[in-house]
Amino acid sequence: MNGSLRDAFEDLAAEARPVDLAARVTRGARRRRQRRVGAVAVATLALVLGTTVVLGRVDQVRPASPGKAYDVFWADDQSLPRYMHYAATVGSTARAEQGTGPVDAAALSPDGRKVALVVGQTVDVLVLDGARRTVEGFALPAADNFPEIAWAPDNRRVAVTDPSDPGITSAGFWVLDTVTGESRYIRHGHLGAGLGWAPDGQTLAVSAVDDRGDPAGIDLVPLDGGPVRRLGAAERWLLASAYSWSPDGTRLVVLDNGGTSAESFVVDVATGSQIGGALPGGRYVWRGPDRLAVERIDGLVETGLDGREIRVLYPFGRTGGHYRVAVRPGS
Amino acid sequence: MTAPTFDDFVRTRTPGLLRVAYLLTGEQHAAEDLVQSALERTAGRWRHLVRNDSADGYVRTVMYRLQVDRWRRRAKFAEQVTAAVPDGAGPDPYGAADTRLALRAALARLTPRQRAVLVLRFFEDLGEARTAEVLGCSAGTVKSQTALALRRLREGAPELADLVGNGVGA
Repeated sequence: MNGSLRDAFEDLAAEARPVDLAARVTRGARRRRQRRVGAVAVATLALVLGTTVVLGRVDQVRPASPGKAYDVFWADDQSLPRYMHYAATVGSTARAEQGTGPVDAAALSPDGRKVALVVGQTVDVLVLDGARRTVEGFALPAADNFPEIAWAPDNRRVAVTDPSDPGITSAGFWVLDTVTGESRYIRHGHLGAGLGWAPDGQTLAVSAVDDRGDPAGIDLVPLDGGPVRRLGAAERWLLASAYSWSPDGTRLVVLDNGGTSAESFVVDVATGSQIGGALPGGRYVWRGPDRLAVERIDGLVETGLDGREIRVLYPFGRTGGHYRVAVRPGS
Repeated sequence: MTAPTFDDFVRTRTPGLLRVAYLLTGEQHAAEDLVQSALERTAGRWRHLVRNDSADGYVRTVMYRLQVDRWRRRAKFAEQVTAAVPDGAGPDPYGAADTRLALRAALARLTPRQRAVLVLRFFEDLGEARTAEVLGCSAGTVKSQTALALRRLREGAPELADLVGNGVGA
C-alpha cells in the first residue's frame, strides 16, 4: 500500500514548479523582521504606556549609568510610525548574541518594575528588573512560533505559550518563577493564543481550539490541574487574545482579531456571556469596576464598558523615553 | 572543509522543499510562501545550525510546523490563494493524471495536520516516532491522525481505495 501511495505522492509533488527563492528569502527575512519588531513595538508601547500611565508607576523603571546595559527604548517624536527598539549589550558574554535578536514578545510586570522579553527562536526569557538593576535570563525548551508572555499578579511568575502546534496534545504553556528559576509545563491540548492571569494568580484564560485547530472559545485553565472550564461563543470570539481580568475576577475583556475587523468584548466569567455590545478593537486594561483604558492612535483613552470615551488620559505625540537598566556584574 | 553558505543551502534544497510544500499546501504559490518562510527562519539561525549540522532537519521541521499552524494565518488572511479554478477536469485517458487529481482533491479535504502526517509517513517515509518528533506531538497522536487521514482519504476519494487500502490504519 505504501509504495503505491508514495508513487501517487511523487506524481503529485512533481507538479511543483522549481523557482529560485534565494533572493526572495534574503529580502523577505529582512521585511519580516522589520514587521515583527514593529508589531512588538506597538504592542509593547501600549503595554508600557498603558501600565505606566494608568498605574502611575513610570518612575519605577529607573535610569542607570550608560555602559553595559539592556536598553528598552521607545520614541514618539511625532514622526510616524512610532517604534520601539530593543538593544542588548550584555557585556561580552554569550548572552549578548541572544539579546540582540528580535524580540518576539514583551510584557511589563503589573507593578511596573520589570520587563520580561522573549527573544530568539528558542525561547529565552529575559527579565529586566528596574529596581534591582539586573537582567536575568531563563531558557525554556519551547518551540519558536508566536510565543506570548504574561506576568502573574504576584509580579514573580510569567506564563509563556508554546503554540508550536495548536490543537494537539503537546501544546501548552510554561509557568516560570523568575525568582527561583523553576518552571512548570502546563499541558493544554486545545491551546490557541492569548494569556490572561486571573487576579488570584491560580487560573489562566487562554483561547481554545478544537481538534481541527479551529477557534473554539475561551478556556479557563486552573494551574492546580483542576478541570478546564470553557466559555463560549466560538463564532464570535474567533481569535481571542489580550485578556484583561477585572480586579474582582468577575469579568474579562478580550480582543478578537478573527473577524473582518478587530473588536473587543467584555465577558461575564460566571455565565460565559458577553456583556453589552462590541467595543472598538484594542488592548484594554481595567481602571476600576466600570472603567477601561485603551490605546488609540492619538493617545491613551479612558472609556466606559460600552466603549464610550470618558477622557483622554495621555495624548500621544509628546512622549518618548529611554530606559537603561544596568547589568549585574558577572551576569 | 568550508562551511556551506546559506545561499548554497537555499539553491540546493529549494527543489526538494518545494515538492514537499506542494504536497502540504496543494498550491504552487502557497508552497513557495511556505518554503520561503521556513528558509527565512533558518537564515536567522544559520550559524548555529551549520555548527551543529542540523539545517536540513530544522528547515523541514519549521516548514511542517508552520503549515500545521495554518489556522492563525487563516485568521489573518480571509482569502485562500489558489492557482486553479475549482472546476474539475474531464476524464483523462491516462490513469496517473486521474489519480493525481483525485489525490489532490482528497488531500485538500484533510486538516493541515493530517496532511502533514501523511506526507511525512508516506512521502518522506518517516516512522511514527520521527514523524512525532518533526510535528512536536506524541507518537500516539501520529498514529491516530494517520488512521483518521487515511479513512478520510478513502471516504473522500473511493477511487483511491487501491492506493490507500481498506484496513490500513483504521
